Amino acid sequence: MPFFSLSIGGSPGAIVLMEHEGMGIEIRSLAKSYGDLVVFEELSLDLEEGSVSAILGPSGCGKSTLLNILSGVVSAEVGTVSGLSGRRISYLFQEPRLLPWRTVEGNLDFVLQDSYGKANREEASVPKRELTGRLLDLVGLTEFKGYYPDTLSGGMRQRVAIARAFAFPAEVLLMDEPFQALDLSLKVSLMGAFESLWRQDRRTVLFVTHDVQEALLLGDAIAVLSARPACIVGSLRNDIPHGERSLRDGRLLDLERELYALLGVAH
Amino acid sequence: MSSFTSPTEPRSGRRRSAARVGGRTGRRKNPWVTLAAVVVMFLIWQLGSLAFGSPIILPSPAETAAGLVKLLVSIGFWQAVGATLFRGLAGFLLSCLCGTLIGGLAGYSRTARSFVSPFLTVIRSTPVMSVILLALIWFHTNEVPVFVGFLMGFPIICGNIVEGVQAVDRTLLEMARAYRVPPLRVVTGIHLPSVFPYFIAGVSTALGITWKVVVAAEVLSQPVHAIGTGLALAKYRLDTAEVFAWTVVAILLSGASDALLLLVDRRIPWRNRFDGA
Repeated sequence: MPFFSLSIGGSPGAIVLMEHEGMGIEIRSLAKSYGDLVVFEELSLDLEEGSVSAILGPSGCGKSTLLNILSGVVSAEVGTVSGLSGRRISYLFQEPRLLPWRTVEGNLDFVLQDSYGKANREEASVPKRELTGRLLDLVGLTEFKGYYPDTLSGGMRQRVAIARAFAFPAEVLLMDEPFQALDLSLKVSLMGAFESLWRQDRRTVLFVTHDVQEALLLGDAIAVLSARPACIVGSLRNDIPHGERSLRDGRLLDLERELYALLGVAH
Repeated sequence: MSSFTSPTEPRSGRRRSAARVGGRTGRRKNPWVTLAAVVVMFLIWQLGSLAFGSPIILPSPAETAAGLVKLLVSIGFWQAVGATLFRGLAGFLLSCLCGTLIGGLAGYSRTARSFVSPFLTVIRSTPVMSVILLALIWFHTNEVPVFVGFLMGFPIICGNIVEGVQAVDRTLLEMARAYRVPPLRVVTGIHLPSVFPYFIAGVSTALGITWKVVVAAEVLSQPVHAIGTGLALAKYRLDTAEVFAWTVVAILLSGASDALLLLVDRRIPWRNRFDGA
């Protein structure tokens, strides 16, 4: 049974992405506009629990708006999102967004304090320290936990942000092009850092990007978004296990061709 | 909003690394060059006093030192210094308090900002002498310097706080909201540390100005115990060496408060690492 099937949605031309499992997050008939600017009219999408769903689309097509609606920063005019209420969300931004006056450890602590309570500081600090220690180890920053962000490189700062996203006890992770603005080798190593954390803690991830390779390497399901007003023009499933994905892999290259076809780019 | 463009730049601030690093190179200054400057300063002073040949016009450093020693052992001296110190601090603390409260309000509310802006513009543009003369009409001699110090420091601190509040990084606030950080910790973890360098920069400029205007106000209001009164009386007696001696005391007072502030400034942890090595 295919993971995704395509069906025609309510408004003409809008294609709804349906999912056959019961769990996960359901986005139905979302509409949002800023004044005359229609971001999307009839967007529906399903995110499978515990997998990475990549949304691929051109810049400015409303990907960030979608994330903002899911995180509750922006509200949609019409439509429903189910499977998110009462669940905690962590967020990975394009920029690291670290507090410059706090150390690496202090930055993780900033979002963690409530989860481990203050009532019993001594007792709470042990598992918290274990968690931050383990995460920083996984992103290769153990020796830098006492450093301030300004003394770290851009890639290291984004690693801290990744560790922070996984430190925060959430089941859902939203990622807004977090590997952008980095050179290729950094991007690959950062994606590796993400992978190693995600494989230990398989959160439901919505990963927004305009980079085909990023979507292929990380996404278990990839949906392609059109330009504004955004609708899903197609989607595909990436069944290659996370550890085996390589841009030279024939299976991945097939998927890449499909994606380029959906994007309308001759390749 | 030009009236908020304050004359003081924070020694730090995330987006002002040049200003920050530049402001913190004090330690790395070549001590020999500083020493040479001091020697040349005293040399000019000494040569000038020789040229004039009259201690009434320009006393030599030695004559000033003698005047200073005479002051130090006199009974009223420490009382005068203490009283001036107290007035300066009172005016300064008042301007800190009001500047922070009103500046904070104006920083977060556009309406308050528009309302406060003309006040700051008028206060900033009023000649110090006008303020002193009016204060002489309105207040008792002891209060005049306090009021003048307050009024001169207030717009500086207020303007800096407004600027600091507006410089709070919105992307960090968004991050905190996404991670459901409670409001109190957003204030202590993001707002306060963002504004603090601006506050310190404002405080350091305001304090420097406060000492000058307080002494100026004292010269005219002449409280019983005051550095300014000492200056005025020495001038009436044509004891120029003592005028110089009081001036040296005022300079030392200002320098001491500046040094104290620099110590506080250095304690800001996220800035310490720029001290190098």
